Amino acid sequence: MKKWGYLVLLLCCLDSRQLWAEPTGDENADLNLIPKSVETAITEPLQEGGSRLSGKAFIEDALTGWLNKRLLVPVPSPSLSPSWQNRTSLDVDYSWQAGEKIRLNVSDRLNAIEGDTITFPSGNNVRNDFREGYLSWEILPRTYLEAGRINLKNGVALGYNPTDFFKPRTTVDIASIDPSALREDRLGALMVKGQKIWDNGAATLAYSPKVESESSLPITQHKSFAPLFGQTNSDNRFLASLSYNIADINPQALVFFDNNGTHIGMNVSRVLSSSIVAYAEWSGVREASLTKRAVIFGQTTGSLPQGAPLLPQTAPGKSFQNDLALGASWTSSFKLTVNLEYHYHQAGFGASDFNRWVSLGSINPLLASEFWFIRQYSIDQQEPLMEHEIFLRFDWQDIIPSKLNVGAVIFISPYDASVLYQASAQYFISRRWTVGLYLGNGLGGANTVNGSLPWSASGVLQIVRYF
Amino acid sequence: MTRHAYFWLMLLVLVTGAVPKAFAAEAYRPSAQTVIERSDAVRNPDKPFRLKLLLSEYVEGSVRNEIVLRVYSKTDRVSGQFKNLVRYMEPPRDLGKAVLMNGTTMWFYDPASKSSVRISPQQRLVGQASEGDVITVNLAKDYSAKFAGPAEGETLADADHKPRKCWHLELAPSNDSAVYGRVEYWVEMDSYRPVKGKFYSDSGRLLKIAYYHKYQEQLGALRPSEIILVDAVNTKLVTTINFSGYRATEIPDSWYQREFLPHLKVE
Repeated sequence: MKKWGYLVLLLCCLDSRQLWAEPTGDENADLNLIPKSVETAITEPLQEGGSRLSGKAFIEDALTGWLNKRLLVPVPSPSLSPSWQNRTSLDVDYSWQAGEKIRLNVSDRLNAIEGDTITFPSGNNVRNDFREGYLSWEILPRTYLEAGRINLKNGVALGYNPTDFFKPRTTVDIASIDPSALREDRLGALMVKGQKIWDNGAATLAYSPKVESESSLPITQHKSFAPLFGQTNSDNRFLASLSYNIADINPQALVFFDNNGTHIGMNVSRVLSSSIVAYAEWSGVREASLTKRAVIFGQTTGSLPQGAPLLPQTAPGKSFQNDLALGASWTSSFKLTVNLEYHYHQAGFGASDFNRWVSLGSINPLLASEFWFIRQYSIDQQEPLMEHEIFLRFDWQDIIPSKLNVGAVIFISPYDASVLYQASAQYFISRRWTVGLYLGNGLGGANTVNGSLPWSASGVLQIVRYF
Repeated sequence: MTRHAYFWLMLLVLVTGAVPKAFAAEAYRPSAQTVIERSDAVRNPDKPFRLKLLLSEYVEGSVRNEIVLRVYSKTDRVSGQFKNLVRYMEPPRDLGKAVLMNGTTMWFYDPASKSSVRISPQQRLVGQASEGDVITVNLAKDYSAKFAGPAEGETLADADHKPRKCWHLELAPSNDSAVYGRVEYWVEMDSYRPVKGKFYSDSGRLLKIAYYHKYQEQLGALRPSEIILVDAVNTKLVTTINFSGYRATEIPDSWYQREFLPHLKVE
C-alpha cells in the first residue's frame, strides 16, 4: 500500500507544477519591437465601391544630356547626336467602365520638347503621342471583342521579344534614349481583336489593317498631333495566338502574317526553384537580311536613293531566319533580381558585316549615311543590330525601404566585349512625387559595336508628379 | 484511517486530481497538422471572396508609405491551396499593377508596359510587406507541421499584451510554393486563432515576425482584421496589414490566367 502512497505523492507533485508553461520571456520581448504609434493607430475601414473611371495621370519632366564624341563613322545628321533635350509630358492612362460589359480605354501623352537640335519656337516643340484608344466589349463571359488603337504585346523575355510581332515601328522618338519614353511610350496599332479566355488557356485573333502608306523613320520630328498610322498601320497584318497551361511551362504558340511573310513563334516559361524562373522565346520567318529590308524600306519611303548598295550584308534573297531569346531570372533574399538573357537574331550583322560597316563608313560619307540609316532602322524595328547579344538586368528594390530602388540594364556584344549600359535610381519622395536618375554609356573602342555609338555618356534627370 | 479508507482516499485523489491533468493535454491534443488546418480556417473563408487591404509601412514609428490592394481569392479544387489575384489601387504610381498567383504560376502585370512578366516565389518576398504576406494562403497545404513547444502548450502575450494559451508549432516547407524556409507559429488552443508567427529564410535567418489581432466577424467567423508585421532584419520597419470589405463573390477560374490581367475590372 505504501507504493500506492508514493505514486499518489508523485502525481500530486506533478499536479503541483503549473499545467501551462510560463510565457517565454524572449517571445514576449518581440512585442517591444512594435512602436506605440502602431499599437495605438486607428484604421478606418476602406471605402467600397467608387467611380467607374480608373486610371492615372502624371506630369513628368525629363532632362537628358549627352556627351558626344568623335566617331569613326560620322553621323549624317546633327539630330542623331544632340547635346541636350528636355521633355515635359502630361501622361494619362484611363479606363471607363461604360456598362457591365463595356469598357473604354484611353492612353495618351502630350509632350513639350526643347533641345539643341530642335528649333524653338516651332511645331517640333509640341508632340502628342496617342498610344491607345479602344472599346472593349465582353460579349460572352471571358470572351472579348475589342476595336480601336490597341497596344498588343506578347513575349516573356525582357531585353528582346521575338514573339512580340506588333513591336516594329511603335517607338515614338528613336533619337531619345530616355528609358521611360522607350518602355512606356509605345504606340498601339489600329486593330480588331477577339479573345477567349478559358480556365486553362486563351486564344487571341487580331487583324490590323493598312490605313496609310509607310512613313519614314522618325529621325526628324513629325507633325505635332499626327497619330502616326503610317508607322503602325502601313500594312495588313493578322495574328493568331494560343496559350495553354501544361507541365507548368505556360506555352504560347503564335502565327503572324505581314508583308514580310508568315512568322511562327513560341514562348515558354517555367519556375525552376523558389528563386529562379527560366524562359525562352523563338520565332522564325522567311525574310531578307536586316540590310536588305532596311534598304528597301529606305527606298520606299524616299529616305535612300534608288540603287543604294546592299552593304554591309550583300545577300540579296530571302531565307528562313530564326530569332531567339533565352533567359532566366534569379531573385535573392535581399530583394535583388537579376535577369540574364542571350539574344540570337539571324538576320542581323555578323562580325565581318560590322567590321565592313566601320571600314567602309569611315572613308565614305555616303555609305556612312546609309549605314547609320540601317542602324536606326533596326532600332525602329526593335530588333538587335547584331546576330548575337548578351543582356543583363539588375533590379534592386528597397535599398532604402519604400524610398529607393536602383537598377541597371546592360547589353554586351560577344564579338568585341563592348558594353552599352544604363544605371538607374528611383527615389520616391512621397506618394505623389518621384525622382529618377539614369546614367548610360557605351564602353569599347571606336570600332566596336557599342563604342561606335555617338555619345560617350548620357544622363537623364526625371521628375514625376502623380495626380 | 483504515487501510481500506486510505486506499479509497488515495484512489479518489488519483482519479479526480493529478492524473487527468497530467495526461489531459496529451489525450485531447489534435495533430499539429490539424491545428494548422483549423487555424487556416480561422484566417480564410471557405468560399471564394474578395477583400481590400491597407498596408501601412512604418519606419521608426512614423508612417512612410501606404498601399491599398484589392485581392480576389478562391481555393484551387485540385491542390486545395488558394489562388490569388492582387490589384494595386494605391499609391498612384502603382495603380493598375496586378499579380496573379496560382501555385508556382505567378505573373506580374504592369499597365505602363502592357506586359506580364513571370515571377518566382522568391519575388513575392520583394517589398516590405510582400505579396507573399498579403495573399490568402492555406499554410497546411504548403508546410508540414510538428509541435515545437511543451505538449501542454505555452502562454504567450498577443499584440494587445493579453496572455493566450497557445500551441507552439514548427512548419517546414512541403512543396515549392512555400514562401519561407521555416515558420514558427503560435495558435490559441481553444479557438485555433493564430496569435503569432515567425518566418525564416531558407538559410535560417529570421525575416519577419507577425502578430494577428483585432478579431472581427467576417463572412461567418471571427477573423483577424489586422496583422502587425515586424521586419526582423531591420527592426525599425513595421508594417500593418488591415483587412476590410470581405465579400463572398463568384470568381471564375479563367480569371487566374495571365491573359485576364489586363481585363480585371475596377471595383
